[in-house]
Amino acid sequence: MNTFATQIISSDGVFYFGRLRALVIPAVDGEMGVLPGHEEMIIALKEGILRYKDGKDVWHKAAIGRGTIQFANNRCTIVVDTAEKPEEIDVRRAMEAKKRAEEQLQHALSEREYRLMQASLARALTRLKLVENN
Amino acid sequence: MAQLKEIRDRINSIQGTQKITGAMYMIATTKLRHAREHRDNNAVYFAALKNLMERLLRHLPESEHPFLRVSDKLPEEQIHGYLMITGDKGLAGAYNQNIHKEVDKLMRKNGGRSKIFVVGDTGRRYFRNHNVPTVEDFVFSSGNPTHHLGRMILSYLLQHFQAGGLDDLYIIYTAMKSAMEAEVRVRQLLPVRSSLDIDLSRDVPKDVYNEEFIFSPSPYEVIDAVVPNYLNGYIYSALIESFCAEQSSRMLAMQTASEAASTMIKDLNVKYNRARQGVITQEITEVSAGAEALSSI
Repeated sequence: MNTFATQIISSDGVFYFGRLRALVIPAVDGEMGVLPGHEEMIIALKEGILRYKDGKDVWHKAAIGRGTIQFANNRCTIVVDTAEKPEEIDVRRAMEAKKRAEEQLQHALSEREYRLMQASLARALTRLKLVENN
Repeated sequence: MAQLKEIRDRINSIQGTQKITGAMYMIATTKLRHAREHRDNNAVYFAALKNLMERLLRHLPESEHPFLRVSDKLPEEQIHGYLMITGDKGLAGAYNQNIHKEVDKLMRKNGGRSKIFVVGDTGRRYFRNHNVPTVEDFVFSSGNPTHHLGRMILSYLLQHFQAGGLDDLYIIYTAMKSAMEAEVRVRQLLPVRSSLDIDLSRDVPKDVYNEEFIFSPSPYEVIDAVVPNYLNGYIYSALIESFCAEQSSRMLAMQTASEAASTMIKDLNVKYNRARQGVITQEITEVSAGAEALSSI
Protein backbone atom coordinates (compact mmCIF):
# COMPACT_ATOMS: atom_id res chain seq x y z
CA MET A 1 0.00 0.00 0.00
CA ASN A 2 2.45 2.61 -1.13
CA THR A 3 0.08 4.57 -3.31
CA PHE A 4 -3.46 5.84 -2.90
CA ALA A 5 -6.19 6.54 -5.45
CA THR A 6 -6.77 10.22 -5.92
CA GLN A 7 -9.34 12.31 -7.64
CA ILE A 8 -8.99 16.05 -7.89
CA ILE A 9 -12.18 17.65 -9.11
CA SER A 10 -12.60 21.30 -9.93
CA SER A 11 -15.65 23.12 -11.24
CA ASP A 12 -14.56 22.71 -14.83
CA GLY A 13 -14.00 19.00 -14.72
CA VAL A 14 -11.67 16.32 -13.41
CA PHE A 15 -8.27 17.89 -12.83
CA TYR A 16 -6.35 14.77 -11.82
CA PHE A 17 -7.25 11.13 -11.64
CA GLY A 18 -4.73 8.47 -10.69
CA ARG A 19 -2.56 7.05 -7.93
CA LEU A 20 -0.28 9.17 -5.79
CA ARG A 21 2.57 8.44 -3.43
CA ALA A 22 2.32 11.64 -1.44
CA LEU A 23 0.31 14.80 -1.25
CA VAL A 24 0.80 18.15 0.48
CA ILE A 25 -2.33 20.22 0.97
CA PRO A 26 -2.94 23.80 2.12
CA ALA A 27 -5.29 23.30 5.05
CA VAL A 28 -6.96 26.15 6.87
CA ASP A 29 -4.41 25.98 9.69
CA GLY A 30 -1.28 25.32 7.66
CA GLU A 31 0.17 22.80 5.23
CA MET A 32 -0.38 19.14 5.78
CA GLY A 33 1.11 16.00 4.28
CA VAL A 34 -0.92 12.96 3.25
CA LEU A 35 0.65 9.53 2.73
CA PRO A 36 -0.91 6.20 1.73
CA GLY A 37 -3.10 4.66 4.38
CA HIS A 38 -3.88 7.95 6.04
CA GLU A 39 -6.50 8.07 8.73
CA GLU A 40 -10.06 8.82 7.59
CA MET A 41 -10.53 12.55 7.51
CA ILE A 42 -12.47 15.46 6.12
CA ILE A 43 -10.58 18.71 6.06
CA ALA A 44 -11.27 22.14 4.66
CA LEU A 45 -8.77 23.56 2.18
CA LYS A 46 -7.97 27.18 1.56
CA GLU A 47 -6.47 28.94 -1.43
CA GLY A 48 -2.91 27.77 -1.88
CA ILE A 49 -0.51 25.47 -3.61
CA LEU A 50 -1.17 21.78 -3.75
CA ARG A 51 1.81 19.46 -4.27
CA TYR A 52 1.53 15.84 -5.27
CA LYS A 53 3.96 13.04 -6.09
CA ASP A 54 2.75 10.62 -8.72
CA GLY A 55 3.56 6.90 -9.17
CA LYS A 56 6.80 7.75 -10.98
CA ASP A 57 8.03 9.80 -8.02
CA VAL A 58 7.64 13.10 -9.85
CA TRP A 59 6.35 16.09 -7.92
CA HIS A 60 3.65 18.29 -9.47
CA LYS A 61 2.16 21.54 -8.33
CA ALA A 62 -1.20 23.19 -8.74
CA ALA A 63 -2.82 26.39 -7.55
CA ILE A 64 -6.16 25.60 -5.97
CA GLY A 65 -9.09 27.60 -4.70
CA ARG A 66 -11.21 26.79 -1.68
CA GLY A 67 -12.46 23.30 -1.22
CA THR A 68 -12.40 20.13 0.76
CA ILE A 69 -10.34 16.98 0.96
CA GLN A 70 -11.69 13.70 2.17
CA PHE A 71 -9.69 10.56 2.75
CA ALA A 72 -11.32 7.20 3.32
CA ASN A 73 -10.27 3.59 2.65
CA ASN A 74 -7.05 4.75 1.01
CA ARG A 75 -9.02 6.83 -1.45
CA CYS A 76 -8.64 10.55 -1.61
CA THR A 77 -11.14 12.96 -3.10
CA ILE A 78 -10.34 16.63 -3.41
CA VAL A 79 -13.14 18.94 -4.44
CA VAL A 80 -12.08 22.53 -5.13
CA ASP A 81 -13.67 25.40 -7.01
CA THR A 82 -10.59 26.02 -9.16
CA ALA A 83 -7.40 24.08 -9.89
CA GLU A 84 -4.69 25.18 -12.31
CA LYS A 85 -1.32 23.87 -13.38
CA PRO A 86 1.52 26.43 -13.49
CA GLU A 87 1.48 26.51 -17.29
CA GLU A 88 -2.25 27.28 -17.31
CA ILE A 89 -1.95 30.42 -15.26
CA ASP A 90 -2.31 33.74 -16.99
CA VAL A 91 0.26 35.89 -15.17
CA ARG A 92 -1.04 39.13 -16.62
CA ARG A 93 -4.57 38.38 -15.49
CA ALA A 94 -3.41 37.37 -12.02
CA MET A 95 -1.39 40.58 -11.71
CA GLU A 96 -4.37 42.67 -12.71
CA ALA A 97 -6.61 40.80 -10.32
CA LYS A 98 -4.11 41.39 -7.52
CA LYS A 99 -3.94 45.10 -8.23
CA ARG A 100 -7.69 45.40 -8.47
CA ALA A 101 -8.21 43.49 -5.24
CA GLU A 102 -5.64 45.59 -3.40
CA GLU A 103 -7.24 48.81 -4.55
CA GLN A 104 -10.73 47.70 -3.67
CA LEU A 105 -9.56 46.34 -0.34
CA GLN A 106 -8.63 49.86 0.68
CA HIS A 107 -11.99 51.25 -0.31
CA ALA A 108 -14.10 48.38 0.89
CA LEU A 109 -17.34 49.75 2.28
CA SER A 110 -18.59 46.80 4.23
CA GLU A 111 -17.23 43.74 5.87
CA ARG A 112 -18.76 41.64 3.13
CA GLU A 113 -16.86 43.51 0.43
CA TYR A 114 -13.71 43.29 2.49
CA ARG A 115 -13.96 39.52 2.73
CA LEU A 116 -14.75 39.10 -0.95
CA MET A 117 -11.72 41.17 -1.89
CA GLN A 118 -9.51 39.41 0.58
CA ALA A 119 -10.45 36.07 -0.95
CA SER A 120 -9.83 37.29 -4.46
CA LEU A 121 -6.46 38.72 -3.40
CA ALA A 122 -5.53 35.37 -1.90
CA ARG A 123 -6.39 33.64 -5.16
CA ALA A 124 -4.31 36.04 -7.22
CA LEU A 125 -1.34 35.74 -4.87
CA THR A 126 -1.46 31.95 -4.96
CA ARG A 127 -1.39 31.95 -8.74
CA LEU A 128 1.54 34.34 -8.87
CA LYS A 129 3.45 32.39 -6.24
CA LEU A 130 3.07 29.17 -8.16
CA VAL A 131 4.35 30.73 -11.37
CA GLU A 132 7.30 32.38 -9.65
CA ASN A 133 8.45 29.19 -7.96
CA ASN A 134 8.41 27.24 -11.13
CA MET B 1 -56.53 47.03 -55.29
CA ALA B 2 -56.67 48.19 -51.69
CA GLN B 3 -56.95 44.61 -50.48
CA LEU B 4 -53.87 43.58 -52.48
CA LYS B 5 -51.72 46.22 -50.85
CA GLU B 6 -52.95 45.26 -47.41
CA ILE B 7 -51.96 41.65 -47.92
CA ARG B 8 -48.58 42.65 -49.32
CA ASP B 9 -47.92 44.81 -46.24
CA ARG B 10 -48.90 41.99 -43.91
CA ILE B 11 -46.53 39.61 -45.69
CA ASN B 12 -43.69 42.12 -45.48
CA SER B 13 -44.26 42.71 -41.80
CA ILE B 14 -44.33 39.00 -41.03
CA GLN B 15 -41.17 38.49 -43.04
CA GLY B 16 -39.52 41.20 -40.94
CA THR B 17 -40.54 39.46 -37.73
CA GLN B 18 -39.39 36.15 -39.09
CA LYS B 19 -35.95 37.58 -39.74
CA ILE B 20 -35.74 38.63 -36.10
CA THR B 21 -36.94 35.30 -34.72
CA GLY B 22 -34.58 33.51 -37.08
CA ALA B 23 -31.63 35.57 -35.84
CA MET B 24 -32.63 35.01 -32.23
CA TYR B 25 -32.85 31.31 -32.92
CA MET B 26 -29.32 31.29 -34.29
CA ILE B 27 -27.98 33.26 -31.32
CA ALA B 28 -29.72 31.00 -28.81
CA THR B 29 -28.34 27.92 -30.57
CA THR B 30 -24.78 29.18 -30.36
CA LYS B 31 -25.15 30.24 -26.75
CA LEU B 32 -26.74 26.93 -25.87
CA ARG B 33 -23.83 25.03 -27.35
CA HIS B 34 -21.35 26.95 -25.20
CA ALA B 35 -23.55 26.73 -22.14
CA ARG B 36 -23.97 23.00 -22.51
CA GLU B 37 -20.24 22.46 -22.70
CA HIS B 38 -19.85 24.51 -19.56
CA ARG B 39 -22.57 22.54 -17.85
CA ASP B 40 -21.12 19.14 -18.76
CA ASN B 41 -17.76 20.16 -17.33
CA ASN B 42 -19.38 21.33 -14.17
CA ALA B 43 -21.52 18.22 -13.68
CA VAL B 44 -18.66 16.12 -12.23
CA TYR B 45 -17.81 18.81 -9.71
CA PHE B 46 -21.41 19.20 -8.67
CA ALA B 47 -21.88 15.47 -8.16
CA ALA B 48 -18.65 15.21 -6.15
CA LEU B 49 -19.69 18.15 -4.02
CA LYS B 50 -23.06 16.60 -3.24
CA ASN B 51 -21.48 13.26 -2.35
CA LEU B 52 -19.01 14.95 -0.09
CA MET B 53 -21.71 16.91 1.67
CA GLU B 54 -23.80 13.82 2.24
CA ARG B 55 -20.84 11.97 3.64
CA LEU B 56 -19.98 14.87 5.86
CA LEU B 57 -23.48 15.11 7.25
CA ARG B 58 -23.63 11.38 7.84
CA HIS B 59 -20.47 11.37 9.89
CA LEU B 60 -20.87 14.64 11.63
CA PRO B 61 -21.30 14.58 15.36
CA GLU B 62 -24.42 16.40 16.54
CA SER B 63 -23.76 20.05 15.98
CA GLU B 64 -25.33 23.33 16.90
CA HIS B 65 -23.75 25.11 13.98
CA PRO B 66 -26.05 27.85 12.59
CA PHE B 67 -25.76 26.38 9.10
CA LEU B 68 -27.33 23.15 10.29
CA ARG B 69 -29.75 24.23 13.00
CA VAL B 70 -33.43 24.26 12.17
CA SER B 71 -35.11 27.42 13.33
CA ASP B 72 -37.25 27.09 16.46
CA LYS B 73 -39.40 30.14 15.77
CA LEU B 74 -43.14 29.84 15.29
CA PRO B 75 -44.05 29.17 11.66
CA GLU B 76 -45.79 32.54 11.23
CA GLU B 77 -42.78 34.40 12.57
CA GLN B 78 -40.27 32.73 10.32
CA ILE B 79 -38.64 34.62 7.50
CA HIS B 80 -38.14 32.52 4.42
CA GLY B 81 -35.57 33.50 1.84
CA TYR B 82 -36.12 32.68 -1.81
CA LEU B 83 -33.30 32.87 -4.27
CA MET B 84 -34.85 32.68 -7.71
CA ILE B 85 -32.99 32.57 -10.96
CA THR B 86 -34.79 34.10 -13.92
CA GLY B 87 -33.63 35.30 -17.30
CA ASP B 88 -32.55 38.84 -18.13
CA LYS B 89 -34.75 38.85 -21.19
CA GLY B 90 -38.16 37.52 -22.13
CA LEU B 91 -39.12 35.75 -25.34
CA ALA B 92 -38.04 32.42 -23.98
CA GLY B 93 -41.34 30.57 -24.00
CA ALA B 94 -42.62 29.74 -20.54
CA TYR B 95 -39.15 29.75 -18.97
CA ASN B 96 -39.66 32.81 -16.77
CA GLN B 97 -43.35 32.25 -16.08
CA ASN B 98 -42.70 28.78 -14.72
CA ILE B 99 -40.23 30.15 -12.17
CA HIS B 100 -42.66 32.88 -11.08
CA LYS B 101 -45.45 30.36 -10.68
CA GLU B 102 -43.28 28.06 -8.58
CA VAL B 103 -42.17 30.89 -6.29
CA ASP B 104 -45.76 32.03 -5.78
CA LYS B 105 -46.76 28.49 -4.93
CA LEU B 106 -43.89 28.05 -2.50
CA MET B 107 -44.63 31.32 -0.73
CA ARG B 108 -48.25 30.36 -0.27
CA LYS B 109 -47.24 26.97 1.08
CA ASN B 110 -44.62 28.24 3.52
CA GLY B 111 -46.54 31.22 4.81
CA GLY B 112 -44.69 33.43 7.27
CA ARG B 113 -42.69 36.33 5.91
CA SER B 114 -40.74 36.24 2.70
CA LYS B 115 -37.59 37.82 1.41
CA ILE B 116 -37.19 37.44 -2.30
CA PHE B 117 -33.76 37.56 -3.88
CA VAL B 118 -34.08 37.78 -7.63
CA VAL B 119 -31.35 37.10 -10.15
CA GLY B 120 -32.29 38.36 -13.60
CA ASP B 121 -34.36 41.28 -14.85
CA THR B 122 -37.60 39.57 -15.81
CA GLY B 123 -38.14 38.30 -12.28
CA ARG B 124 -37.60 41.75 -10.82
CA ARG B 125 -40.06 43.25 -13.30
CA TYR B 126 -42.64 40.59 -12.55
CA PHE B 127 -42.65 41.28 -8.82
CA ARG B 128 -42.65 45.03 -9.33
CA ASN B 129 -45.73 44.72 -11.54
CA HIS B 130 -47.45 42.62 -8.91
CA ASN B 131 -46.46 44.95 -6.07
CA VAL B 132 -44.53 42.26 -4.24
CA PRO B 133 -41.46 43.72 -2.54
CA THR B 134 -38.14 42.08 -3.33
CA VAL B 135 -34.78 42.75 -1.70
CA GLU B 136 -33.94 45.99 -3.47
CA ASP B 137 -30.19 46.18 -3.47
CA PHE B 138 -29.82 42.58 -4.57
CA VAL B 139 -29.21 43.24 -8.24
CA PHE B 140 -27.53 40.53 -10.24
CA SER B 141 -27.80 39.58 -13.87
CA SER B 142 -28.10 35.97 -14.95
CA GLY B 143 -26.62 36.58 -18.39
CA ASN B 144 -23.11 35.43 -17.68
CA PRO B 145 -22.78 32.78 -14.99
CA THR B 146 -19.31 32.84 -13.44
CA HIS B 147 -17.71 31.76 -10.19
CA HIS B 148 -17.39 35.39 -9.27
CA LEU B 149 -21.14 35.92 -9.65
CA GLY B 150 -21.81 32.86 -7.51
CA ARG B 151 -19.49 34.13 -4.78
CA MET B 152 -21.09 37.59 -4.80
CA ILE B 153 -24.57 36.14 -4.51
CA LEU B 154 -23.57 33.76 -1.74
CA SER B 155 -21.75 36.37 0.32
CA TYR B 156 -24.83 38.57 0.12
CA LEU B 157 -27.14 35.78 1.22
CA LEU B 158 -24.87 34.57 4.00
CA GLN B 159 -24.67 38.07 5.37
CA HIS B 160 -28.47 38.14 5.62
CA PHE B 161 -28.55 34.66 7.11
CA GLN B 162 -25.85 35.26 9.69
CA ALA B 163 -27.37 38.54 10.77
CA GLY B 164 -30.50 36.58 11.67
CA GLY B 165 -32.55 38.04 8.83
CA LEU B 166 -33.44 34.64 7.45
CA ASP B 167 -34.62 31.39 9.00
CA ASP B 168 -34.17 29.34 5.91
CA LEU B 169 -33.25 29.75 2.29
CA TYR B 170 -34.62 28.11 -0.82
CA ILE B 171 -33.28 28.18 -4.32
CA ILE B 172 -35.65 28.04 -7.28
CA TYR B 173 -34.04 27.42 -10.63
CA THR B 174 -34.56 25.61 -13.90
CA ALA B 175 -32.67 22.46 -14.73
CA MET B 176 -32.34 20.59 -17.98
CA LYS B 177 -34.19 17.34 -17.57
CA SER B 178 -33.13 16.05 -20.95
CA ALA B 179 -31.55 17.68 -23.98
CA MET B 180 -34.82 19.42 -24.83
CA GLU B 181 -36.85 19.42 -21.66
CA ALA B 182 -36.48 21.88 -18.80
CA GLU B 183 -37.89 21.54 -15.30
CA VAL B 184 -38.23 23.95 -12.39
CA ARG B 185 -36.46 22.73 -9.25
CA VAL B 186 -36.78 23.87 -5.67
CA ARG B 187 -34.12 23.03 -3.09
CA GLN B 188 -33.57 24.13 0.44
CA LEU B 189 -30.07 25.53 0.80
CA LEU B 190 -30.09 26.54 4.46
CA PRO B 191 -30.19 25.07 7.03
CA VAL B 192 -28.24 22.40 5.24
CA ARG B 193 -29.23 19.22 6.99
CA SER B 194 -32.77 18.89 5.75
CA SER B 195 -31.94 19.68 2.13
CA LEU B 196 -30.29 16.37 1.47
CA ASP B 197 -33.12 14.02 2.28
CA ILE B 198 -31.04 11.47 4.06
CA ASP B 199 -32.61 9.28 6.61
CA LEU B 200 -30.44 9.76 9.66
CA SER B 201 -32.44 7.38 11.77
CA ARG B 202 -31.61 4.48 9.47
CA ASP B 203 -29.70 1.76 11.28
CA VAL B 204 -26.22 1.06 10.13
CA PRO B 205 -25.69 -2.71 9.75
CA LYS B 206 -23.42 -3.99 12.47
CA ASP B 207 -21.04 -6.00 10.32
CA VAL B 208 -20.25 -3.07 8.02
CA TYR B 209 -17.13 -1.13 8.77
CA ASN B 210 -18.23 2.36 9.58
CA GLU B 211 -15.37 4.76 9.05
CA GLU B 212 -14.72 7.31 11.68
CA PHE B 213 -13.56 10.61 10.25
CA ILE B 214 -11.37 13.16 11.86
CA PHE B 215 -12.34 16.72 11.29
CA SER B 216 -9.53 19.19 11.36
CA PRO B 217 -9.22 21.68 13.03
CA SER B 218 -12.68 20.91 14.50
CA PRO B 219 -16.08 19.79 13.18
CA TYR B 220 -17.40 23.30 13.71
CA GLU B 221 -14.67 24.86 11.62
CA VAL B 222 -14.95 22.25 8.91
CA ILE B 223 -18.64 23.09 8.57
CA ASP B 224 -17.75 26.75 8.59
CA ALA B 225 -15.48 26.23 5.61
CA VAL B 226 -17.24 23.45 3.75
CA VAL B 227 -20.82 24.66 3.81
CA PRO B 228 -20.18 28.01 2.06
CA ASN B 229 -18.14 26.07 -0.47
CA TYR B 230 -20.93 23.66 -1.05
CA LEU B 231 -23.48 26.46 -1.35
CA ASN B 232 -21.21 28.32 -3.71
CA GLY B 233 -20.94 25.25 -5.90
CA TYR B 234 -24.69 24.75 -5.72
CA ILE B 235 -25.50 28.32 -6.70
CA TYR B 236 -22.92 28.32 -9.47
CA SER B 237 -24.27 25.06 -10.86
CA ALA B 238 -27.84 26.34 -10.62
CA LEU B 239 -26.84 29.48 -12.52
CA ILE B 240 -25.29 27.41 -15.27
CA GLU B 241 -28.22 25.02 -15.45
CA SER B 242 -30.67 27.89 -15.61
CA PHE B 243 -28.71 29.69 -18.31
CA CYS B 244 -28.65 26.50 -20.33
CA ALA B 245 -32.39 26.01 -19.87
CA GLU B 246 -33.10 29.62 -20.79
CA GLN B 247 -31.22 29.36 -24.05
CA SER B 248 -32.84 26.06 -24.82
CA SER B 249 -36.37 27.34 -24.25
CA ARG B 250 -35.63 30.50 -26.21
CA MET B 251 -34.35 28.37 -29.04
CA LEU B 252 -37.51 26.29 -29.03
CA ALA B 253 -39.77 29.34 -28.78
CA MET B 254 -38.01 31.05 -31.66
CA GLN B 255 -38.14 27.92 -33.76
CA THR B 256 -41.88 27.67 -33.22
CA ALA B 257 -42.29 31.37 -34.00
CA SER B 258 -40.30 31.08 -37.21
CA GLU B 259 -42.35 28.08 -38.28
CA ALA B 260 -45.60 29.87 -37.47
CA ALA B 261 -44.41 32.84 -39.53
CA SER B 262 -43.68 30.54 -42.46
CA THR B 263 -47.19 29.05 -42.41
CA MET B 264 -48.72 32.51 -42.13
CA ILE B 265 -46.71 33.76 -45.08
CA LYS B 266 -47.69 30.73 -47.12
CA ASP B 267 -51.40 31.28 -46.41
CA LEU B 268 -51.14 34.98 -47.12
CA ASN B 269 -49.35 34.30 -50.41
CA VAL B 270 -52.21 32.07 -51.52
CA LYS B 271 -54.65 34.79 -50.53
CA TYR B 272 -52.57 37.41 -52.32
CA ASN B 273 -52.41 35.40 -55.53
CA ARG B 274 -56.13 34.78 -55.41
CA ALA B 275 -56.81 38.46 -54.95
CA ARG B 276 -54.41 39.28 -57.79
CA GLN B 277 -56.13 36.78 -60.07
CA GLY B 278 -59.47 38.23 -59.06
CA VAL B 279 -58.32 41.70 -60.07
CA ILE B 280 -57.02 40.46 -63.44
CA THR B 281 -60.20 38.51 -64.15
CA GLN B 282 -62.21 41.56 -63.35
CA GLU B 283 -60.10 43.69 -65.68
CA ILE B 284 -60.50 41.20 -68.51
CA THR B 285 -64.24 41.10 -67.95
CA GLU B 286 -64.34 44.84 -68.01
CA VAL B 287 -62.28 45.07 -71.19
CA SER B 288 -64.23 42.39 -72.99
CA ALA B 289 -67.51 43.88 -71.80
CA GLY B 290 -66.34 47.26 -73.09
CA ALA B 291 -65.29 45.75 -76.44
CA GLU B 292 -68.62 43.99 -76.76
CA ALA B 293 -70.45 47.17 -76.00
CA LEU B 294 -68.44 48.95 -78.69
CA SER B 295 -68.97 46.26 -81.33
CA SER B 296 -72.72 46.21 -80.73
CA ILE B 297 -73.02 49.86 -81.67
